Amino acid sequence: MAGERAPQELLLLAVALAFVAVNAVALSLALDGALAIGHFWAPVFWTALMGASHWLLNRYQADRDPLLLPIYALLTGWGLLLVDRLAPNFLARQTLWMVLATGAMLLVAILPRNLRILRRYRYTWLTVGLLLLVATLIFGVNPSGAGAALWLRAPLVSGVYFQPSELMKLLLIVFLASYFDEQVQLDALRTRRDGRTRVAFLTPLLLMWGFCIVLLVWQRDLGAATLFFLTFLALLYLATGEWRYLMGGLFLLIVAGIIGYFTFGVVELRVEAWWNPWPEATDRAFQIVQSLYAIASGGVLGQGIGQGSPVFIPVVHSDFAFAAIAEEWGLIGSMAVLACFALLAYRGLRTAALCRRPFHSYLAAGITILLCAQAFLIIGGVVKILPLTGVTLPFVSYGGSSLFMSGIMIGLLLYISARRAVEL
Amino acid sequence: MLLNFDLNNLLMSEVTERTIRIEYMAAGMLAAFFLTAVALVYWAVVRAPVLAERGDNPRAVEAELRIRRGRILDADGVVLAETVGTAQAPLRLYTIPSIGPAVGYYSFRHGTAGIEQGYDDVLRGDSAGTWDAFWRRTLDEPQIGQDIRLTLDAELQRATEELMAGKRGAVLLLSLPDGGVKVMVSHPGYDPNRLDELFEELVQAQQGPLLNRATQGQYQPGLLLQPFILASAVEQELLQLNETTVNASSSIVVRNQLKTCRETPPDDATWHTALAFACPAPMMDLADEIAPGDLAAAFDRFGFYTQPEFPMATAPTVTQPITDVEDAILGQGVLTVTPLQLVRAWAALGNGGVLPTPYLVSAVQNSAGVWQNAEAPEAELAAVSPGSADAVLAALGRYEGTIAEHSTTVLSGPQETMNGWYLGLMPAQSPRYAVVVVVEEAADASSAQQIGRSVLQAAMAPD
Repeated sequence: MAGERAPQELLLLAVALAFVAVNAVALSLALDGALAIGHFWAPVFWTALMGASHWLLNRYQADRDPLLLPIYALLTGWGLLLVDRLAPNFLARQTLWMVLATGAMLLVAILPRNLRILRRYRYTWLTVGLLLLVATLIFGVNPSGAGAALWLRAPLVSGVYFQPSELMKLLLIVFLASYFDEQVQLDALRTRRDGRTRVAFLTPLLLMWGFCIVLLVWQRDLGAATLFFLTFLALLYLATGEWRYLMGGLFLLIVAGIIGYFTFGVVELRVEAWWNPWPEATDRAFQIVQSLYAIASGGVLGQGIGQGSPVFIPVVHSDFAFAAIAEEWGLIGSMAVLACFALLAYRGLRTAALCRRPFHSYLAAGITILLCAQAFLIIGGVVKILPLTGVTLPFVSYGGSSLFMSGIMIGLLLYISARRAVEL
Repeated sequence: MLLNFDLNNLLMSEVTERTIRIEYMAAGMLAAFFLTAVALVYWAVVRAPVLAERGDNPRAVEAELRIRRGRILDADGVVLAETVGTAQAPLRLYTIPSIGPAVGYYSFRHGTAGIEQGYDDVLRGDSAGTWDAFWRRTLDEPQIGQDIRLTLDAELQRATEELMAGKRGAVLLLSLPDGGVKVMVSHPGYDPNRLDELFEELVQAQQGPLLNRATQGQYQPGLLLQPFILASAVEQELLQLNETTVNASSSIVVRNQLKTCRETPPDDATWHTALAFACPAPMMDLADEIAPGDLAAAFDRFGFYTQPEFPMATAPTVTQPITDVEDAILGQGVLTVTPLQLVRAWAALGNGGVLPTPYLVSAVQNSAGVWQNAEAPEAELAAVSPGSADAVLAALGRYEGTIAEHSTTVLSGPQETMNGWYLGLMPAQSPRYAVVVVVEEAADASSAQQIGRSVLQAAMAPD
C-alpha cells in the first residue's frame, strides 16, 4: 500500500511544472520580447525544489496525501511568476523565502517522530508567541517605511524582517488543539454535566475575543485579528459541537466590528469603502475600485501574463495578488486558484476527519481552516463581498513570513496525513 | 478494565461526532468559496462592460495611449499631423500651427474634432478585421492606425492663412470638376498643438475660434444670391441676360440702409451689367415676377437647403418657407448659407450647372498600408442647364480677363454687421478652381476680393 499514490502526485506536479514553464516563457516574451534568463532562474529553483520534495517525501512519508504537495507547488510557483511580473525587485527575496519555506515544510513533514513536543508544551508556545507580539508592539517596524508596524528586524542579518503574527497563527492553533484535546478527554470522563464544562470552553472564548480586540487596538491589524478569531471559533465548534458557541462568537465578532467602526478610522474606512466604493473611486476606495476594474478587464480568458495593467492597483503584489491573477489569467485563472483552496480545504479536513487522535485532528483542521479562511478573507475582499482586511493570499502573495509559515503548516498536514495510516 | 472499555467507547463516538462536525465545516468552507466564485463571475462577466466604460478606469486611457495613430497628409504627401514621442507619452504634432479648423484636433482630454473625428476609426486602426484584431491582442501588439491623404495643399493653405491674418472670416477653394477642397481656412483659428493648454480660453473666446466658419458659419447671403437667381430665371425663361433693365443704378433701402451697385454701371444697363456691377434695384423688380415656390425651388436646386456630405461638422440648414419674396430675393430673408454651400453652388456655374460634391479626403490606407482612393463622390443633379450656367458665367465681371467674379457686401445678423464677400472662378473660360472668401465686419468687399484673387492665382501658378 505504501506509496501507491506517488504517481498521481508526480503527474499533478508535472501539470504545475508545465503551467509555470509556459507562463515563464510567455512573461519573458511579453515583457522583454525575447527569452531572458532573468525570468527563468526562479522557476528553475522552484522545479528543483519540488522535484526534491517529491523524492524525499516518497522515501520518508510514502503514505502522505498526494494532493497537498501539488497544491503547494502550483500556488508557490504561480506566486513566483506574479512577483516577477508585479514587483521584480522582490523576486530574489521571495525565491529565497520559497527555498526556506519548502525546506521547513520538508523538515516538519519528515523529521518528527511524534508531535508530543507541540502538545505538551502548549503554554510555552503560547507565551513565546505572545512575547514576540508584545515585542512587536515595542520594537515593531514596517519594512516599507510606513503603515502598521507588524514586523521585527532579524538580528545579525540586515534587511530581513519577520512578522510574529504569522508565527502566532500556528502557535495559536497548536495551543488550542492541545487545550481542547485535554478538555474533551476530561469532559468525557465526567459523569455528570456541570458548570465546569461550560467554564472550560467559555473562558477561552472570552479571552480570545479580548486578545483579538487588543491586537486590533494596538496594532491595527484587522486581518490577523479576524483570522485568529475565526480559526478559534472553528476549533471550538469542532471540539464541542456547540452551535451556540459558534453563533455567540460570530455575534461577538460583529460587536467588535461595530465598536471598531465607531472607534477606529481604519475600520470605518474599510467598511465604507466596501459598502459603496463608487463615490470615492478616486480617493479612499481607490484600491478596491481598481481591483474590480482589474477583474473586469480580465474577463473570462484574461489579458495574458504581462499584458494586463494590474499595477494600477496599489500594493498589488501582496494584498491584491488575486486581482492581478483575475486580470491576466481571467476567470479561468482565478477559478483555478479558488479550486486549489477548495481542494486544500477538502483534503485538509479529510485528513482531520480520518485522524483518530483528537490532537492531530484539531491541528489538521485548524491549519486547513486558517489557510482557507485567510484565502477567503482576502479573495472576498478583492471581489467586494467582504470588507478588506489586509491579509495575504497564502502561498501566492509576496511576503516571506507568511510563505514560510504556510510551508510549515503544509509540512504538518503532510506529516499528519501520513501518520494516520500508521495509527490505523 | 471496565473504565478503559468505557473510555474507548466514548472516544469512538467522539470520532464519529467529530467527523460530522468536520463535514459541516467543509460544507461551510466550500459554500464560502462558491459565493466568491459567483462574485467573480459577476464582476468579470456581468459588470465588466460597465466598468470598462467608466471614466476613471485607467485602462481606457492606457489602451488609447498605446494606439499608434495614423498621419494626416496633404495632397502631395506633406505631413499635416503625425504622432511623435514615446509609447508612454505620445504627442500629436501639427506642422501648420493654424491648421486647427481644417483638420480638427486630437486631444487626450478633449477628444477629437474635424477630420480627426470624422476619420477617427481609420486613424486609430479600428477598421482592421476581427481576425487581425484578435491576433494582435494575443501577441500584445499595439493597434496601428492608417494614414489618410487630404485634398488640401499645405503650401497654399499656409499662404492663405497669412492673407487672413488679423481678419475674421473664411476661405474655401474647390478644384473643379471633382470638388476637392484645396484650401479651407477659418480665421481666427487655433493651434491644435496647444489645444489642452488653451482649451478653456478657446471655448470662451468671443470670436469662436473653435467654430469652423467655412462649414459651420451661417451667413445671410444678400446679393451673393444674384447669379444663382438669374441663372434660374434664365432657365425658367423669365428673362434674357441681354435685355435692358430699368433703373439699374437706383438705390434701394435694405434694413434702413441705402444700397446700390458696387460701381456705377453704364446708362443702357442690361441684366448682364446689373450682374457684373452687383446692382440690387433690378432684383427688386424681378421679385414681382417670380413666385415664392419657384424661388424656393431655385434655392433648393443650388443646394442651399441641404448640407453637403462632409467629414466634419456642418451647420444645420434653414427650413422656414419663403414668405417675403422681396427680402428673399435680396438675401435678407430667413435663408442663411455656409461658405461650403456657397462655394458649391458657385462652382456649379463654372461646371456646366452641375453641383460638385466637396470632399476633403482623397485616399485612405487600408490595414495592410496600401493606399486606396476614396470613393469618388457621386455626380450631383444639375442646378441649372449648361446653357443657363454658361450664360451667367459669361455675364460675370472679369478680372484681368482670366477670373470670373462676383463680389458684394452683405448686411448680416441681428447686429447688422457688414461682411465683405468674394466669389471667383478661374480660368474664366473653363474654370478649374472656385473660391469663396468672406471677411467679417469689412466696410467694403475689397479685402475679400484681394484675398480671393491671390488665392486663385496662386492655385493656378505652376509649382
